[in-house]
Amino acid sequence: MTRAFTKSIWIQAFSRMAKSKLTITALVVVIGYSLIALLAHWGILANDWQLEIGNSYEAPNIHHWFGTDIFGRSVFAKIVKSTEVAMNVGFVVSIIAITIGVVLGAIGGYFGGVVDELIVWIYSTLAAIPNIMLLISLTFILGKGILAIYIALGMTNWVEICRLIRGEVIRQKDREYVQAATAIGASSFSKLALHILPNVMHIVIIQFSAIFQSAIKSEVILSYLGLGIQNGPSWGVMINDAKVELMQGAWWQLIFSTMAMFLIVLAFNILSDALRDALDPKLRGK
Amino acid sequence: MPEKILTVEKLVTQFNTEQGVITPVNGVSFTVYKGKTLGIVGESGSGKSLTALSIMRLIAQPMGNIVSGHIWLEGQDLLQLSTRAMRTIRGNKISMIFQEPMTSLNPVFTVGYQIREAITFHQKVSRKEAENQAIELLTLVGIPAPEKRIHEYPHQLSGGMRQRIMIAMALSSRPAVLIADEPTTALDVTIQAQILDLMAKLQEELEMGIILITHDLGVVAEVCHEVAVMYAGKIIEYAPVEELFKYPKHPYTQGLLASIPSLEMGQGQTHKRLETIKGVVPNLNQLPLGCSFQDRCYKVQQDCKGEQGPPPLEEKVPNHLAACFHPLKDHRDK
Amino acid sequence: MNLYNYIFRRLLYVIPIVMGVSLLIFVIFNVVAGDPTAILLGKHASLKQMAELRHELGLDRSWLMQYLDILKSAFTFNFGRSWSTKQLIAPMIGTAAGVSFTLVIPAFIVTSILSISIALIAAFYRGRLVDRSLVVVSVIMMSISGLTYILLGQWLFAYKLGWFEIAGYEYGFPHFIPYIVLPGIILVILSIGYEVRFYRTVILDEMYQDYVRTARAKGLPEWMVLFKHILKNAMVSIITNLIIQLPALLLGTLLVESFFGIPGLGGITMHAINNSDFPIIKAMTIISTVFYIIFNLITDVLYTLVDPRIRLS
Repeated sequence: MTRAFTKSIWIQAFSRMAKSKLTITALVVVIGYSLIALLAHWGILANDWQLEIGNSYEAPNIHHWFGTDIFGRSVFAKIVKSTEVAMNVGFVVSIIAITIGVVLGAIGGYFGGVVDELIVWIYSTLAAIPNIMLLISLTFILGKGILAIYIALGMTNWVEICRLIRGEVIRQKDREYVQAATAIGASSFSKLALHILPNVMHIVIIQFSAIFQSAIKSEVILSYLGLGIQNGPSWGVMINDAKVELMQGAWWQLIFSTMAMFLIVLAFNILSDALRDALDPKLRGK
Repeated sequence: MPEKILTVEKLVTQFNTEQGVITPVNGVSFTVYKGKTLGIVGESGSGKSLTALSIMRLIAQPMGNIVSGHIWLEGQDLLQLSTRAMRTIRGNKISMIFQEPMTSLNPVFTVGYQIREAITFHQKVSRKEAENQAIELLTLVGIPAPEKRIHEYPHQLSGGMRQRIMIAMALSSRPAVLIADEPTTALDVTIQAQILDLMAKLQEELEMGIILITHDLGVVAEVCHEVAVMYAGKIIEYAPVEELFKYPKHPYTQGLLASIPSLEMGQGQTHKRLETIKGVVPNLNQLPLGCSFQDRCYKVQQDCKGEQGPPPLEEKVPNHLAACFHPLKDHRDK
Repeated sequence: MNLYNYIFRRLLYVIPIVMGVSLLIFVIFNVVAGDPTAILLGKHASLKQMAELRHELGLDRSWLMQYLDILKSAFTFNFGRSWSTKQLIAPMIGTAAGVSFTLVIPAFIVTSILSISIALIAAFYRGRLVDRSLVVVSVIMMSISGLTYILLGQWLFAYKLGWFEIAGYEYGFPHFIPYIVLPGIILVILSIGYEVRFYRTVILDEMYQDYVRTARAKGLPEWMVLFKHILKNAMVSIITNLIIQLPALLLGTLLVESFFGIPGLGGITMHAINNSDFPIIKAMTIISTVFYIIFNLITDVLYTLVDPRIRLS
């Protein structure tokens, strides 16, 4: 047995998850949003969101399901386009954060010594600055635009997974199967990559879901504050517009953007919980 | 004739699992006598711990449920009592100690506090009086310098001492029955012997009935007066201890006895291998028709496998019950 | 280990963190940010003016001096002047902190008491309808953006129904009360979902421990098992959580304060963002970090006090 996590455990875990209708629904929602995002990205959907297609502040009606904004643009199209932004940010940030976190966590946990001390120092330093201040500072300095968001959100999200991976690697590296690999002459790299890392994958999967969701929420707040994406629609920007709109009785941008965001965040929350219940070895024992 | 203090009658406990309903305690009946120890033996998964927890009505609902049966204590059926009434029994008339003394004590309270709590909950006494009783109890279980010990925390004590504290706590209201679930399994062999001696001594002094749950036949031979062997939720053999060890009737019991390493092996005897019972304990939701032991039994016959159902627990020799269609015979059988 | 030894070692550990953080802040605000004089003075400034301003802001000194300036400001709380209002930053922050306290502290107390109580109830009825509905409600509440709560709350309760003040603040007790009730309620709603889930998990983890089984076997009623035995063990995690929240609290109110026009720490930070008031953002970052480190330290020390295993080992 070279692994703590054999294929059958994965299959068992996922089939257990599949039994819950709620989890399946959540998964469907996530896939649905991803599809919408892709279609929007390729220009098939909502490519014309900027066009003025109706009167200012039209309430939802047959022509414009979600109504129009102050410029007469379709709120529905804006929401679809914002979905692309949100899923995009969620995905890229997750990839960045997980890559940095896993690499540094694995190296630090496995090699220990000075390298580990250095890595711990780096992430403790980052963690010492409250997230929101770090986000604000970074986006403030790096300027507007999507790259700033990627960097800022990436930087604030890799610490947690780094800690988790590091902890798990430390726990795993003295296990028998690693010693067995050493006995047959495996190199450090192959031990790490081929043997230990597959056994920490469950953390990666759970964190992927958690970071994705957190990134979406943060992006909304940043856009709302005027620090994020300004050249395109975003749920955050739409909510910001709503500040003024509500006074004039135009509720639809707020409600629909909130609902759009709520659904995907809720779906991710449910997925994260389901993943955690299925994959966390501590819980599985109960 | 020793007095009966606890009688369990056809106890059935079920659990709802992902794979369906299982019955880990399936019609268990036995009697505990004053001043005597009943051993309940079996492999893990046999249902022995759950039987004990059922008697204490500590089965976690809604997953688990005591479905039917009776538990007679002092003329009352414990299963008919309200939750509130049951609480006056628990820790008072029937006490239980567990396997892991390390984790069974609350780490953030002193041991004195935890013993006092058991005392003041069941008896209305002052704190000072409770403390005095606690010190007495610690002396009773053989802990030196008890006045100092009561101010200490569990992690400051050794495993053996912690188990003694558990015993002290369990005995604080002089219960009629003590249930000990694998009390010595987590302890060193020398400490094991001490704890067992202590329990025997206390039994004599307090005239308690003890239910000792264990998988270790050596322990059974040491301290038990009667033994019930459990397998897959049922008692498959029930006899006084000497009778069981000399003339086991059920093939499973025979297998258990044969797997005890003994000193005679290797001394002049031709190489006798350590016997094990082939196979594993069956999954409770995949029990075969007929006798649950059929897949591992060397004496299995056709009638064990089906239509009549599982073999009933009946008297094969006076005072010696076994659940087997083809029990082992000894010189007393015609 | 002696308690004092522990504190001392802990303090020592803070030093490399402080150096790291100040370095990071330095890199962000002094290196990456570059020269702000052009922004401040506008395009038509003369070279002389720019040089003067640079000198005033200390930007013409070496990197090392600038770095040390940051360290110094963290200890002396002298952050210079705001670019937009020209006021001294330190007293601004002081007043703003006071204002934030009047909002945040009551909200924090209410949230904590409510969430711990609700978590205890959920744990008591674990697995049953009450527990499951509470979890569902928490998850749903967590998924709604805070922005929505704020906007809807303000619009509905202050504007439409007129029950509370829409925005603004009055200094002095009890004048500020009508201004903090609605934002306070919203703050509670914002965090309660997370808190209930966290405390529930902590309490449930304890519930599966062996000592709980022993307590029940003693005949103790379920409520006593929960409130005496489990709660005390859960205290470590609960206290840690409570303390850790404190620094984050002050900033989490960013949005709430800006919306309701409350001139607290969050409010002035928002103002600074809108006006590109660099020194204030820098100062807020430094201060919040300092407090975060201090509170982490306090939490660790409290840990050792509450859990006898740590204290006496």
